[in-house]
Amino acid sequence: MIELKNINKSYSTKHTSIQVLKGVDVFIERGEFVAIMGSSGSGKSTMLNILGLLDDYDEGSYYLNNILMKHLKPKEAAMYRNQLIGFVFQSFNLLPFKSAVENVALPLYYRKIERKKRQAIAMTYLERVGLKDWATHLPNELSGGQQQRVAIARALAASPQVLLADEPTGALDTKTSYEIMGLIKSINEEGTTVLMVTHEQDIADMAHRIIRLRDGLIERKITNPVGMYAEVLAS
Amino acid sequence: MFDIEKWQEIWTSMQQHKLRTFLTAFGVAWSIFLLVILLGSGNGLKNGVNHTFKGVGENSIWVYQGKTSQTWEGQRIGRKVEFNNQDYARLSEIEGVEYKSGRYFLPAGTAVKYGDKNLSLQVYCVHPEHQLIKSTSLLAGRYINQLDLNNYRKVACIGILASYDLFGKGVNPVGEFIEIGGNPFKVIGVFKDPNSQKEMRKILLPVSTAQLIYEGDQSLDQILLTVKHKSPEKVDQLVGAVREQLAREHHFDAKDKKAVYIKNNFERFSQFQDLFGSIRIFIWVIGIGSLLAGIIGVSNIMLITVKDRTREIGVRKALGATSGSLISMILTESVFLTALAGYAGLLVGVGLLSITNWVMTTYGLRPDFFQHPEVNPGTVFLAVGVLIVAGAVAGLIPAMHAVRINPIKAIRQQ
Repeated sequence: MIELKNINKSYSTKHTSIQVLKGVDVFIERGEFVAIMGSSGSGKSTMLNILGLLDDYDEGSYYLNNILMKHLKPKEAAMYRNQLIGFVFQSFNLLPFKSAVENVALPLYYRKIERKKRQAIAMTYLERVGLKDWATHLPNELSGGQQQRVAIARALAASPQVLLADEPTGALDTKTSYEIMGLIKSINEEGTTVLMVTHEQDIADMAHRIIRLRDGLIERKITNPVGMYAEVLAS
Repeated sequence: MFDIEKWQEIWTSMQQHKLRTFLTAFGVAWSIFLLVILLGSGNGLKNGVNHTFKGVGENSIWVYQGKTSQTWEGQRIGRKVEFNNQDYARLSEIEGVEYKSGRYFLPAGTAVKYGDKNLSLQVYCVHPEHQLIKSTSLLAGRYINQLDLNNYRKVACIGILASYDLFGKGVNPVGEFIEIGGNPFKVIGVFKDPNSQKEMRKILLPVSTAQLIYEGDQSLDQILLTVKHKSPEKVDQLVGAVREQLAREHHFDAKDKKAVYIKNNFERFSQFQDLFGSIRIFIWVIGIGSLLAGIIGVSNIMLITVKDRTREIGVRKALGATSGSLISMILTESVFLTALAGYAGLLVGVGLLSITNWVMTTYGLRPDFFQHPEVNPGTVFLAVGVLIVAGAVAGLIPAMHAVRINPIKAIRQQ
């Protein structure tokens, strides 16, 4: 499903060049639920950017759904993002002036699906996250947990192959965090591959597998005791 | 394709910052309003000048009799120069003369009678081409022609206002006889002159007839010429030739400007044209300047909007928005805002000019150098075009900014 081979990435400023990723190899199978951990500056944001087709890399190769994602044109990248990847963010990032259902329908808009159909699809996903009755509410009328549910529904609306979650519980209290994780888990169980960046150990522990990044390299791979998948690649 | 979502978003974006949007829009509207008012006034000035000069013939040269102010060939100062038919004939032959007419005035106070009406009207005795010089048009009958002159016919062509005075409104006077200074003349035509009220109160006679009846000589008071080639050099040449010809004939110094007075309308007209041409350029410069200020205002606001919405744009990108769709969204908003505001300014400006024009027409305010302030459709379309381009230009930098936004950075930014 996802294959990163010897990914190198450096950012250059005027005076210096910083190598952020120094040859990362990751293999994730379809249906896996993987957590990425690492301290700030370890390169996990960069890796998420590359995985989410929001940034290019210098060396190596990245296969997503058996397609090589390299030197994509902005338009192609936008298309693959729209069709293959769903994003969930720490701070929900719903558009404040759009109702819940309109927010969920947004990826479908970029897929050029007709308005009525968009709304119908969006409603089914809102129902899936248990917020059907809140469809016409604006984000600021919803609680944090509800907003993140809407965000998850939005990520799912375009029926992506991979769900990329960037600290999905970072802005939530423990109880709500667990509810959201429950939702993400159930989505994973329905077949969607989930990649989640987090710095909370208890949240990471809910994944099948944890990838730990340090100084631009995969430090070690820990198979979750409760995970179903064995370690696949050694670095 | 009409994309309702896009327009909803533009509307929302504008709604979120009503004051900001209003102030920006006002800036654009104001600049277009100023441009329209300035251009309209410029046209008013131009129309006024054109109108004023139409009445005298913008390429005409009027030659008046004067008195010598310098001695010449032993003759004293202060001799009167008097024109006659021979002068008219000689001047007509000068290279570059288009139309020509002598003018011989009956003394002021000459009685013009019809029935029991006894009026004192100006009576001008002219050649046929007088009509072409003054660009008058006929309402009935015909103008004085060469046969009238050859046969010394006692006929008169009268101005429409003179006709009203003599015959009353709604009466066709052609074929009637009027008495001028004791002699009966048959009315052969009625003319109007849109450029001069005074002209329409005149009575025109064939110059030869009048000379024969009233004076018994060949004298003329004035000679009117128009020039074929409307270039300053040719006109100057012609004026010089006229002066020389008359100097030779009447024995005065050709450099003596007071011996004959020459009113060169072409020169005066060109001077006015140049002046108003410069004023128009000036107006455009000011107008474009203020429009530029408006554009920069819109651009600035759009840039702020993009900055405000950095995170939102990041989210959209993550959800699969292409650069094209983002650029289109921002450009549309910018063009829409500019075009709408500009159109409002345009409407108000044109409205104000129309009202001014209406008031001036209705109340008969017709100052010589300001008439019919208006903007022609060409200018309006140009202004609208400028607005749309302006909107696009204003949106360009903000759009480029939006495209460069890195989604993850934007989203993580608090």
